[in-house]
Amino acid sequence: MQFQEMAVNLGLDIHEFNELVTLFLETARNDIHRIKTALENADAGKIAAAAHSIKGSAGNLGFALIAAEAQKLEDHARKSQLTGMMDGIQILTEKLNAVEKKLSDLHPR
Amino acid sequence: MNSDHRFSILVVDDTPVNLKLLDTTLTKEGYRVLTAANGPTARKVAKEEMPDIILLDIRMPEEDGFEVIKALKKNADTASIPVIFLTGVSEIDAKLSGFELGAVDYITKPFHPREVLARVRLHLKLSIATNSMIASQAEKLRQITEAQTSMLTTPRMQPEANFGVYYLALQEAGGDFYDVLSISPDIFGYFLADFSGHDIKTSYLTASVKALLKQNASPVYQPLESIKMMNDVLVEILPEGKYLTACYARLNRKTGQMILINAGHPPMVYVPKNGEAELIKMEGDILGVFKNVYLGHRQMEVFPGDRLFLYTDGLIESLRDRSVWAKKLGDILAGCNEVRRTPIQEAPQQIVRMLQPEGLLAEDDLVVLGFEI
Repeated sequence: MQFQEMAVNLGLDIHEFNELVTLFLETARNDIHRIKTALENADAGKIAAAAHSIKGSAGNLGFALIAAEAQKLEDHARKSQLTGMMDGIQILTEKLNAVEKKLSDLHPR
Repeated sequence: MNSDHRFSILVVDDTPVNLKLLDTTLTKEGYRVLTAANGPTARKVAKEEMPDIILLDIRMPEEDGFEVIKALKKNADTASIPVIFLTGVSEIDAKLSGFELGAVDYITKPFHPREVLARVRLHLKLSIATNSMIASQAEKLRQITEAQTSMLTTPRMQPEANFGVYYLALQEAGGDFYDVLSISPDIFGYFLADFSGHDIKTSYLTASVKALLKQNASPVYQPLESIKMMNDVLVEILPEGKYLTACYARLNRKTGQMILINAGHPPMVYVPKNGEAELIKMEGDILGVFKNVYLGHRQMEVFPGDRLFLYTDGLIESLRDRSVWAKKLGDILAGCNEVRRTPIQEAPQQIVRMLQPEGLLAEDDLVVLGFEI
């Protein structure tokens, strides 16, 4: 996960890329929150929509593993398989944390 | 007036990251980027800003991309803006529906910004080329003189098209016009038009329409595109107050697919080999008046022995009383049903004989054209 490389791959400079990553983290956290709430209400449709949103953003930025994990959640939700979903959410959260750490290492506040 | 000469692109996506990614990429390349995070905003921005191209996400909550493109295509102002869909990899159906609804292309997600740029460039070029082609066709057609009267084809000249036609022109320069196009060995186009409006000699206009048909009815263009391009040129060349109604059927004898277009014309009649005749009713604007038209459009599967009849309103207006239209349409249906056993080459004459008994004077030009699959 080299931000510089990922940025070049997208034809962006590192600042533009970092801005996108910041926005990504913000929206993905929000989506995770939506997934958790929807899970409490057993609302498979809302879970799928929020997971789909994470998948779309992650995929386009080049966070392939996060996209794959979100895809799994979306697939399960579309089949209304809501058990064991907390594990997936946990993995996703950890991966997002790793991205966040990377970002703050690059740009210490 | 907008003094900004950059091309403008409307990007529609409910995912903020994708919206920003496309915004950043396209802005850097010198485009003016407009964004919308949902369908209703997209429609509003499209109408107010008239972007040169639209990138449209299909999957959005509430109003999805399909709804948006339908609305855009129905609105005369926004109908001609090229739309590129953004779609997931596996959504084959979505891609096909997208094309049917009038999208020019799709980009698979996750997309690569450079691919998006390449496609945007390509479609802007195509759009520029199409517009300049329309302008140059209009210029050429202006030069067509009245001396070049159009020649009407006959079933004997094109036996492979398997059609029959009845044609009656009351004045020297008839207001009705038909043509049969051999687009490829298996693909045929059947076209019928009725010029209306102020009484201006129409011979050079029918020559123009014939030339336009020839230029635009190619396998490269879908029938809807062909007729729309014709319309765009006609808007430029038709005298004030002159317009035409038309219908067009494109038949692929190999695949059995038939595409029908209706532009303000009376309904065509479809006679399945083993079924009752039916009217194909479609709403559509007339041609030659509005820059962007909404046309009736239908695709159907047909089988050997099925027939389609096109006719001009001389057949229903013989009594200048609109209240008899419904009855007249019923008579036409019955007529088309009745002539099943008559070879298609003679069927149109037969229908006219049934509907206009001898001795009754024709009051209008009249064309009936039928073909068999």
